[in-house]
Amino acid sequence: MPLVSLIEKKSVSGVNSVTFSSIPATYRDLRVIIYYATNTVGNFNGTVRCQFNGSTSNIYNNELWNAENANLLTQASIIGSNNFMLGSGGPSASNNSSNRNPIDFYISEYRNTTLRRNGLSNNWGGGVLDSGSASSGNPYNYAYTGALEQESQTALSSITLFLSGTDNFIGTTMHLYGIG
Amino acid sequence: MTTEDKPMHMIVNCETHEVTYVPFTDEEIAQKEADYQAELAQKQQALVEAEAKEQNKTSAIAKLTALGLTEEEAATIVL
Repeated sequence: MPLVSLIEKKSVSGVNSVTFSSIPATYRDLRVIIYYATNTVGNFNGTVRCQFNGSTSNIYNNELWNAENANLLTQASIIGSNNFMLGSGGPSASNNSSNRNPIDFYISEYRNTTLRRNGLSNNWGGGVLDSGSASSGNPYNYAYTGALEQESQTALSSITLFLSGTDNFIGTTMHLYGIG
Repeated sequence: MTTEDKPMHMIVNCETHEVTYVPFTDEEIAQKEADYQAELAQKQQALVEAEAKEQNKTSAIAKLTALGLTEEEAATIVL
């Protein structure tokens, strides 16, 4: 199946949320790849979140497993239920092109109106050395993998990625691909 | 906070590739701050619970070894 690049953008200072709107109803699956940086110098305490179709009313089922310390993050513990959590931790320096962390998020059958929206996400430290981790010391190189489901059968036409808190995505590059 | 200082939404239209920037409203900022504080509190709580669980595990293994089990045997009981 061909992988077609739909959008490639770089975020500027002050941007806390990025929405891909008017996603063409042309493909079978979608893939979002971002390399994120923030304006925070030092350890970033926030998380990268996602909503589908701008909905805060649907329930978002989401669990993430962290290979670094074998912790399972659940909706009940940290993630919450009105968005997906795609990643946490790092990057440890501000707007540094060599210090950005990847998130790879695959969304299957985004137009199907008989199935709920779902996907798989991966987020890892990208080799970033981070002295801010209390759990593992330095160097800190985490890796999250997650399964996600939105309790909605509405075809997906927009994806919003945002940071918890009011930090911004300066220097973050974002790519959206259509597949199949 | 002035409009210039407010965090922004970046909206990318995938059909036209047009990019627009919209400042957060005061209500959105307040909600964001509240959500973030709740997230930090939950993170802290999770850390405290994980630490307590680890301490209980260490204590249980110590008590079982005092009864004559090896540490390996005790570890198979304490999960």
